[in-house]
Amino acid sequence: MKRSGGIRRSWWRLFTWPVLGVGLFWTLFPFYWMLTTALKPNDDMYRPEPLLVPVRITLSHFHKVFFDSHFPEFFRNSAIVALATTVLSLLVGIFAAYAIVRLDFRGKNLIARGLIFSYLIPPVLLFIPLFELIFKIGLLNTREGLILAYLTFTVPFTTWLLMGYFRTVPVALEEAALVDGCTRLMALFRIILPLSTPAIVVTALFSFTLSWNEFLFALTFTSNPVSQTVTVGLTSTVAEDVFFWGVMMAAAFLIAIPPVVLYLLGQRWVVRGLTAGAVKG
Amino acid sequence: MATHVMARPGIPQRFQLKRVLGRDYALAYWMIAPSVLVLFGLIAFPFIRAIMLAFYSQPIGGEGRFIGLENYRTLFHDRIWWLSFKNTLIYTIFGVGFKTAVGLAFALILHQELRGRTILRALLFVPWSVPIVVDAFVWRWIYNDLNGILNYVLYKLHLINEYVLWTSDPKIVLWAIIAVVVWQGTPFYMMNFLAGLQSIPDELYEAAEIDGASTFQSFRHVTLPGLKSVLIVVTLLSTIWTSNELQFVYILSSGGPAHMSEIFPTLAFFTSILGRELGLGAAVALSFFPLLASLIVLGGRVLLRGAEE
Repeated sequence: MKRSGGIRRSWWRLFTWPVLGVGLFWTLFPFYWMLTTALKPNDDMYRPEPLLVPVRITLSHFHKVFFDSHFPEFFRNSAIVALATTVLSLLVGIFAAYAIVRLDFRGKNLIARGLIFSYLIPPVLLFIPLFELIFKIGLLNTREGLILAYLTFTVPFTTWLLMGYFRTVPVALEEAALVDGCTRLMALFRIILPLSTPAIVVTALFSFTLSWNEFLFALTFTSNPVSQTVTVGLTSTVAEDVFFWGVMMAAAFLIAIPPVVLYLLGQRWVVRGLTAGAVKG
Repeated sequence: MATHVMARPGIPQRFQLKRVLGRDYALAYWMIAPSVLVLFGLIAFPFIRAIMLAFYSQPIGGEGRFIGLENYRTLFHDRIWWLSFKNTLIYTIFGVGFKTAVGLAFALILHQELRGRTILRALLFVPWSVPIVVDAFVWRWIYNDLNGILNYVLYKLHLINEYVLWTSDPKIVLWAIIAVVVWQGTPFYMMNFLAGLQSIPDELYEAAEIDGASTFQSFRHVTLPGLKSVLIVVTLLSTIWTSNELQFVYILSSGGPAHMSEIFPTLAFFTSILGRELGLGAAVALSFFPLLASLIVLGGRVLLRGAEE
């Protein structure tokens, strides 16, 4: 590990743990509260003096999420949409990134620039025209419609991230293969891709997480459980029940699991992805 | 590069095309075709359509009618638009400002030899890795007027005399939302600043120490200049994304009470989809466009320059 810089003076050290303590509490307490709420019986939840530590534990809220709500459908929709978006954007991104980095053709700077600027265009500027488009081609309330819309943010950053990585693969390796009679595509699949596994894993991870977490497009383009994802599904729970907080927090907890697990798995690559400007925050 | 371009006298036409379109144009155009389709069909074309829509009266499913600047005239005379204008500014400036300050402070703290630093970093990052909808709902429950934990704890500690309506008091609602924005977004800043700090060579600090620089001086003359590019990239990109994020407001307050926490993204959604006026909604979404466009151009340039280095 790299050691710290010039900020090792003692007075600074004094503040370290108290500040970290406050920071950790402020960061983690809401999640503690979410989980304990999900596990508390309703009687213990809606009382004048909330219980900081649950005295009775119940799985009834989780039971309701799994067996008496639309959440199984929401989860299935989210999984399908996020997986399909990830696979599609990787396919599109791998080819585009390879062409831009390695091949000589007219218009490649234009495409590279187009990708970076479209990555920065926020979804709020696109959801209205995309709604029109998806409405016209009859894909409202379908997972296919959502997948199309999600490509608008996954393709630019997938391509961009892979471009950065492909550049680090030495050209000499490929040239040797080309001299030996490999075609460009063979070189891409046999040399570049195996060497780029970490980058592909990270981009896949980001694509999946961004699609899983997406809200605005799902809110705009879907309005029933046939195609709604977990994020909008959560908002529709509010209307159904007066005492919805237990079920709500149970569902929220379950929704948060996939992205958090993926993040923990890919943690060591995240910073590199972040500094490549790969993730919206 | 040039050695690959060999003159082939037998096929002069193809040679000509290669000269104009580049050596590998045939394969390259096939390979980039899908991304060009996405880029133009799903991003560029809809984006231009959004700009055009702002000059139309276009109900959902109905006939569009060109009305020139009428949508903008409507908005400029609308009290709610002005309220959203003010709120979006406050929301973005304070959101980004606090995220930068808190993120930098935590990055500096974590950039020390600490026991369990890896775990600390992972834990502090959780709010950002969780879907924003989840974050927002957890806080909506914490802020709950009657059964929320925040009111109870503050009351017990005698910090408040009566329960506060966190998301329905017009004076408080926007700030309560900004607190959640900062809570959720700080980890992203922290991680980037930390990466930036780690890229500053230790020799610079050692040199500063030898020259007798104080902690503050080495922060001012070594740390800050070393962080400059990260600071610029992060605040720039985050300004674009923060000002266009509607989930916090949508879930915590729906823009209420009486539009006191309305921002342009929520107003655009309510106007276009619930109000079924796509043209007017597009005009709302584009309210900050001149400012946003310059940020996007600036941000794009910074990212491109970063890629070339």
